[in-house]
Amino acid sequence: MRSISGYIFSGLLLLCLLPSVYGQDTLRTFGPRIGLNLAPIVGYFSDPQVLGAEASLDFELFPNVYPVFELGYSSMADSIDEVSYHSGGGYARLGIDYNFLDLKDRSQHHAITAGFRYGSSIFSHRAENITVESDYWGDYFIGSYENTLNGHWIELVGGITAEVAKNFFIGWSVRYKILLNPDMDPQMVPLLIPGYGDGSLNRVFGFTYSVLYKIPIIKK
Amino acid sequence: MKHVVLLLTLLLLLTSCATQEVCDDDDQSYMVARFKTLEDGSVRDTIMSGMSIYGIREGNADSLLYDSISMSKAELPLDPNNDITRFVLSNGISKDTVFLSHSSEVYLINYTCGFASRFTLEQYTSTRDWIKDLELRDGKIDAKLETDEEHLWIYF
Repeated sequence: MRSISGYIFSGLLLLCLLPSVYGQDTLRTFGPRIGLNLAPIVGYFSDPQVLGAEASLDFELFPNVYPVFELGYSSMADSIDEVSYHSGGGYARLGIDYNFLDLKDRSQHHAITAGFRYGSSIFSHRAENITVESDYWGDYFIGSYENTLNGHWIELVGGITAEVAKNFFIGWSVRYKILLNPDMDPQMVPLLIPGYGDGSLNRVFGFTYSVLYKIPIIKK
Repeated sequence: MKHVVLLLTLLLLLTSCATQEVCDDDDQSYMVARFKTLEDGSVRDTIMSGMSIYGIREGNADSLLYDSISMSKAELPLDPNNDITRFVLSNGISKDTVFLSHSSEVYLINYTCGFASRFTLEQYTSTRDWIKDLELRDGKIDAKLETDEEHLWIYF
């Protein structure tokens, strides 16, 4: 059962060729786990206008309960007709994941999790070469507009994490995000809220693909 | 496993659905002026026949917004370039100029349709050849607001 579950998890992540290192003992290790979200890097190749990086930190504080802290930065630059647009800034998320997977072997650390996050981003966005078209009065050239904003949202998170080598994990998560203050800028809706996504949408889906390393401080 | 793949596929399909923005005249903020008469102390809607309206555009030739038509209200674009907009109302016999003082704010309609202006009417007056009075009904002129869309009553 252990090898089957390991195969399923690894297969999901297209990394099933990595060797299994389990079964050394039945002790469970604990420690802070540091992760790097690869989704912004993968996304950069499909959408080079958006650039970002994200790291995470979690810890199995209680059995199957993982408080999570995520920190990141993202920015975008785009040109829409004559208007140049830029948005960028940092964000943080805080939340909890709960592992529903009932593993017989305590040395395994695979997880199927569900949880939530509260996210907040401080960012600025700017548009240049703004023109208001008026057929009757003539076009009105505004110039530029800039605003610094604070976005808030919550996320419902479901994910899978597999330990593919001792203390090394890969995992992904699907997130349903709900923006709490969609009217943060009545004049110009942000095209990117870092950590959230398209600010013109009150609900969005998000994905993460992460590699993680657990620092094995405690073994018991 | 099948269910997981199915669910993921569904989620991907959902997120890949994008709404198509349609840009039309409803995105523009127009001041709506309703024509009224005051008879025996009661206010009544009225239809003005042969009404022509144009805006006074500095440095540009006059261009009619309405040309000798019968109408009970007019939708008038305010000047985003200036704080004052002037409209001339004429029926061929009488002629008046309405002066509107306003502030404006630019906002993004969406990234397909670009930017537009919304206005706040602050002061209003007119010459009194045939216009008897003006009454401000709603100073907020914003295409995004759901209002009764009557901003100014013009009494004849």
